[in-house]
Amino acid sequence: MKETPLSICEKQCVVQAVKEGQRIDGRSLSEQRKPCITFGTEWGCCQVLLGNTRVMAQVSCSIQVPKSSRANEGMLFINVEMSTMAAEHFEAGRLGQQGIEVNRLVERCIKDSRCVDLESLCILVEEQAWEVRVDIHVLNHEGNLIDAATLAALGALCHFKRPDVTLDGREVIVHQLDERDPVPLTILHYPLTLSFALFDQGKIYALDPTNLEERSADGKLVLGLNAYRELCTLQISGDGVFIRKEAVLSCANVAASRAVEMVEMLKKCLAADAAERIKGKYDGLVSSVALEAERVTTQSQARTYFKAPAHNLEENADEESLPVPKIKLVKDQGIVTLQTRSDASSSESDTEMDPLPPVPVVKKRVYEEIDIGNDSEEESVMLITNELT
Amino acid sequence: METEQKSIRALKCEQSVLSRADGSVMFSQGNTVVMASVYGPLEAKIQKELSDRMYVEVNYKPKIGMPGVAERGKEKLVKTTCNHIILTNLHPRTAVCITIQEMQDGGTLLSASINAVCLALLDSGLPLQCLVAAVTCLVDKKDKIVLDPCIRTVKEGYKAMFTFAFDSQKYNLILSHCEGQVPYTLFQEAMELCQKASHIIFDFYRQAVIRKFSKELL
Repeated sequence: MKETPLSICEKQCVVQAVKEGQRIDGRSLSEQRKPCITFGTEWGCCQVLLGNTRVMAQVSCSIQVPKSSRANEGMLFINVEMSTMAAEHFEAGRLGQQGIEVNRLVERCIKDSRCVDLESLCILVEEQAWEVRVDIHVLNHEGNLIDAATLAALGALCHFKRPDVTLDGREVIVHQLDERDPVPLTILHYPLTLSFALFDQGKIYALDPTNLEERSADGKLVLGLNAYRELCTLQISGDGVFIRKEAVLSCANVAASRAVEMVEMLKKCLAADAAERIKGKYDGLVSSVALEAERVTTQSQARTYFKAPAHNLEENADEESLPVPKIKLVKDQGIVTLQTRSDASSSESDTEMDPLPPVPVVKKRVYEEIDIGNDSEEESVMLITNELT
Repeated sequence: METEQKSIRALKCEQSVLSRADGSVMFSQGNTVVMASVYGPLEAKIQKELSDRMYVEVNYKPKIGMPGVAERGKEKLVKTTCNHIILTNLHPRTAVCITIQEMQDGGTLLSASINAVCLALLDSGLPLQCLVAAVTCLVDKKDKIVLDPCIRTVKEGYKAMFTFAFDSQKYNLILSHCEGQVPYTLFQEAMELCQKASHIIFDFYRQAVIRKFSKELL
């Protein structure tokens, strides 16, 4: 299915707003959407929410023969999967042009910057080494897939633990997870990407563009930085973009301070996850189901909910002040009848009117408030015994 | 313990979790978490277009590696279930694209996927004939029936594992997927137990939809 084309008025609105320094969701030009990072029960599972963009990464490992050119190193393989779930124009199984771009940028930022120590992944030189595989699944595309994917990949790599290995002469023993504690990967530095959408031929830049902003932009600037403000990746794309070097430097400054903050946040989330695991009852991604209450208050698209008014029959009968409705509900011994009021006289005159056939009592329905307590397990686990026939 | 074996794990779901999909849900059954999305009715590719009904396409995506034969098997099972519950005759020459993403494997992925797809279809507003609830149970090596097993029980080994899916109108069997070898009486007992359990899942769907429409605008 093809992507719905961007209308001219949408594009003009975004471009005009950006020229005035404003954005559709109320952020400033150098403000990023607040990322939300959660981890799963399996080691190496990380889900990142960047506004409404949702990406999940999973790291796995297997023992392979190392490459002959680098016989003393392990291998890192990054794979980005985009399916119809993320957007209707993505095809399952095949990466389109955008997918290939995301894949390549994540590879450049994480693999080419050598943030994972590959030499520590070698088991026997030229014979056996660990191949670490990162599968990144794009779940929802609302702009800036590159940043979300890199953050998810980095989070998953930091979270991942591989089985412990001992060498007995030339014999390799891989220990099971319950025999010996698994070993984390050696991460040398924490590189992240930060993308800017370029407008007005490169004169204006907006950090962390949404899907609409990305499509309306003239070009894109992607910077890969780590917590030490070192540049790992740089890419500028887009036709008709003439970005000046001062602009690149100021973008880099904005991005560097943001990268430091993001790495801090990632480390905090990892520490919180480790603390949760020690507590005992750890359910991983289950706790990220129904995070809704927190997300409705963000500036991204607020979903509309409505609360149906509580049906209360006694209240209706008391409303004498309404001039318009001539029909009132009369609750009489449990039977509700619709009664037309001829004059301003009271309900004693109901004998002259033929009452409509009695309607069965409407039970009072009060919709309950949502409580985000964690007692869902108590209410939903149902026991089936043989008496349930 | 008797009560432990005959209960299903806690169910939790968040509907409309993806902003782009027509219908989406993040569903968890115990520690198994699955995300399902529905896009439809969509323009169908000419090769896949059917003149009298809607074409149902299902994609199951595992967390690690490329989809293989096991994933194709799951897709086929979910597809036959969906063809039964969706009123495909109302939208000829179109397609509906259902994607299931495995988020966390705590055992019983097939039944969690079917339940998630049902909730996602409810969320998308596609016309359905009925709802569907899937339950898995296994017969362990001591001939005891364990309902809705967790992944530890599955890894310990079993004689047979069954997944049954029931409809919401008469609780008839829509889908039955079995592996292993057991006498017929045990199979019958397992099916009856799963049928009882499906009532709970239908109740949960009802609760989920009530909750979805009763939240206040903050």
